[in-house]
Amino acid sequence: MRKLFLIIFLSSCFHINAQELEPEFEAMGTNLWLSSYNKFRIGDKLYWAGEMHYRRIGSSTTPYVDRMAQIYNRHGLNYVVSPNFNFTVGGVFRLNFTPQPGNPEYDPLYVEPRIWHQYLFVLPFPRFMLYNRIRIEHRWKRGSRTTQDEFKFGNRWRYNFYMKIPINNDQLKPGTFYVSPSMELIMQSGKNVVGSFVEDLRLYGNVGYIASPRVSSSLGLMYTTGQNLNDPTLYRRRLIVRLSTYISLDFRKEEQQIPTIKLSD
Amino acid sequence: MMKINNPILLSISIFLISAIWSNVVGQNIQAYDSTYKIDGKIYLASYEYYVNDGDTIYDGKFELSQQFENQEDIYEYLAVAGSFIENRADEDWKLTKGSFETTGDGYYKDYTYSYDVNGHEFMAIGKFLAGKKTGVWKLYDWEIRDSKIMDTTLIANINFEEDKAKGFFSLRIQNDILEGQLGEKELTQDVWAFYRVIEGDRILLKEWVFEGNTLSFMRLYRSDSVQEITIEFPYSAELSEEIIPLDDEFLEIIELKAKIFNEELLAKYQNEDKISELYFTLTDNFDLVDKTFSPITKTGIHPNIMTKLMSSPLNENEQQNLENIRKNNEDNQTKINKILSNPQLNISSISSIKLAQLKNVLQKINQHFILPTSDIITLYENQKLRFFNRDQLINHKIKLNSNSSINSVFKKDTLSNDYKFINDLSFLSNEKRSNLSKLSSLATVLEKEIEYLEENIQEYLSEVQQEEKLVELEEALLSKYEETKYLADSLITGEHDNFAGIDVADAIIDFVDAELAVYSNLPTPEEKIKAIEVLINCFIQTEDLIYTIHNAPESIYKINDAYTKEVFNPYTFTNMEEKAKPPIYKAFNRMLLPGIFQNMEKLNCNNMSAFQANFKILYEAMIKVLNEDNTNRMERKVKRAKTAEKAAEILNMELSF
Repeated sequence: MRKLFLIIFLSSCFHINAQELEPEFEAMGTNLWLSSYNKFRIGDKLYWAGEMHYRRIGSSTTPYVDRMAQIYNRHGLNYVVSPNFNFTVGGVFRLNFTPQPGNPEYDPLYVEPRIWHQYLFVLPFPRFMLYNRIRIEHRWKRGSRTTQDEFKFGNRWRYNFYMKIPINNDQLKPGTFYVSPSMELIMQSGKNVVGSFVEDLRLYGNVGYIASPRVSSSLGLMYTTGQNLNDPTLYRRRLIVRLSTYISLDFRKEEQQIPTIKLSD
Repeated sequence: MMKINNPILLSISIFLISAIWSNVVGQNIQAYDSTYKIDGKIYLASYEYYVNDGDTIYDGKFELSQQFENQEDIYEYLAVAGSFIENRADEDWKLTKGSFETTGDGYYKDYTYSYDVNGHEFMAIGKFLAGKKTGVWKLYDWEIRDSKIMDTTLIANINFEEDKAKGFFSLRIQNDILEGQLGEKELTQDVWAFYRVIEGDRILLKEWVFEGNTLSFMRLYRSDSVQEITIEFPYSAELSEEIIPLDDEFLEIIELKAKIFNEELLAKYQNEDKISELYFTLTDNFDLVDKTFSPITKTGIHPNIMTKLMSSPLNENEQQNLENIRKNNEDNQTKINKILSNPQLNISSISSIKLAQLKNVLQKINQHFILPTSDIITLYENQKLRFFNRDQLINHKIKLNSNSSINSVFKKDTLSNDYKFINDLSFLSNEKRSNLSKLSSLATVLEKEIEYLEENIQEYLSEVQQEEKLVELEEALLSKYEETKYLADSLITGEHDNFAGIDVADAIIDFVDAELAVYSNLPTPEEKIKAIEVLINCFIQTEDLIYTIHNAPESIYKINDAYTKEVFNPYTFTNMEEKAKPPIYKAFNRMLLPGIFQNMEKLNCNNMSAFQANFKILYEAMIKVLNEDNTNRMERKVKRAKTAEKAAEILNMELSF
């Protein structure tokens, strides 16, 4: 609660400062994010969440896919308290690729570990589902330059509001296409964060398809903008094409998996 | 004149006569005037009598009367008046008997209130001489209207001598008159004439001419013509004369003899001939008198009129033939009655011309041979055959001249279809054989002929029964056909079509239509009889199949439910349905289930049971495979199956396609 108060307070400060500094936007960057979201059921309410992200960044000549940006694995234990609330705790192992391949001043590959935990509130409606996700990440981040940059601890405060609205069915069930509008605000804090509290604002729209209860996928376009860490007046902008798959497997013993056969007689 | 000269004898005689006379004169004559009971009926009687040795001896006047109102309020009375001499009827006797009922309003006359009456009165008057009828006895019957004689309906006169009817007698009943003569021993004689009074004139209709007490001729009159019918004697070397009563049996013999002589003539003069019955009215009236008189007078007035007939006794050969005829004819009669009383024959002969013909032939045989033979046998049994010429009698009853004379009876009727005896009738042409002998042979032939006809009838009846059965079965078949189509239309819906991928009801209706068409095209009833029950059963099975299909969605949904499990989706955080053993369920949903439904397009009566059983087999097999632990291999293999047959084979389901 105290942290939430701090975010609100800092936002107000930024607003005051912004009035003094003219914001500028960087040129629109493009990215391609390929993601594989996996959840493995290991107990009645417990899942092993494992995400695999493969991200490329575009250039002016080769948009979206010019070079590698990041690969990272996000893992965690997801506990479904109820259909309306669950939380996850885990770690992230992120590999960042050099922004200037071939430049020896930059590490071609460096890590960025994180600890994360999130709290998801699910609001079911008759014709759609509404989600409020709060994710907090504790990360040790450094710059890409080999000599100058050191790991610095910081926090990310993420709030994501998104919906899943079935298109061709009343409910989200296998065979359903859905549209999912999403808005996420990512705030950051840490010793090296001076004025650049808004790391990213992500506006994302995607269309998904539920192939089965265990397999879904989505394709969407995301627009993000956020303050440059070193220059709060400078706003980064990106268009990101995202292709995601969602896999859910049940690793419990077989007899636990199949519910009682529903025979009337 | 005998003289008694001996004084002693004279004295004794005088004494004895005196004694007897005194004894008679000395009887104590008494009068009785009270009730009198005859045969349980009570009368009022007034008579004179004396008692001798305890016996009542009527002697003197005798009067008897009875009057009463019967249950219908008709006043009846009876009165007898006469006299006895020493218990024997004597002198004039009179019997009156009548019945009256009042008519009109009545009137007051001579200090009493009187009514006119309607009714009739019968009266008989005659004379006895010491207990014997004598002189002319007269009978009357009057119709009374308003207390006056309106019509004399009967007048009869008959003369008696020494208690026997003899001489002239006459009878008139209304307009019919019989007049005749009786000879010694009350035997018929001379001419008996029958008249009818028409417009006041006596018209002679008929005469019986007796020669030597034997009826020799009948003469029938009409206008100016007269027809004579000879009453022929039997032809025999042993001809004898028999005295017989002139009664019904005599008249029957005479009538038959007259028919033998000339049946057509007799038929033509039937009206005139019937007047003979007048004679029996006369005898009935004598009986009426005797009923009252006899208990009183101890004698009757009814004469025992007799006549004579010539007879020829049956010889041994004739009796043997007749016994044979009797036995065979009885058997034939029994058989023919049994056949003709068969209800199936009577019903079937309405619709089957052949049976109608056979029935008609039997009826003709019965009518023209069996019954006439029975008549002859009756005459034999009643001992009357001796009065007839047997050849003439048989020829009159049955023409036994030749084959054609026998077969001719069937030519008169188109329904008999010119039937000809199949048995040999050549014996009829043998002129050396008597008619009795031929009749004996005919009775034997008839037995065989009836058996042959019976066999034919049974054969046709069997065919008719088959046809009737076929008609009934075809009605049942059509009814079942309609029911089946109706069931298919009403119980099989679009829901089934969705599972099947075809129009299931149409497929079944096409099948029943095709089966019915095949049946209809069968050329003979025999083939139809063989096919129809199978087809009806097939349609019944089809109905069962329709019910099975109708109920199939219930099982299909059960399988669907059984194979469906809910899975929590950790991305949408909703429960989603997922099929267990998806390849198997997919095979069920996309191949097996449509496959067993699509079987309906190749349905026939032989595979129907198997196709119907598929639904149960599939259901049970799907549940079984769901509960099996390790079906991975099966699931992998069934994924590659392209046909329902292959899928069923992989899943070990004994389904028929």
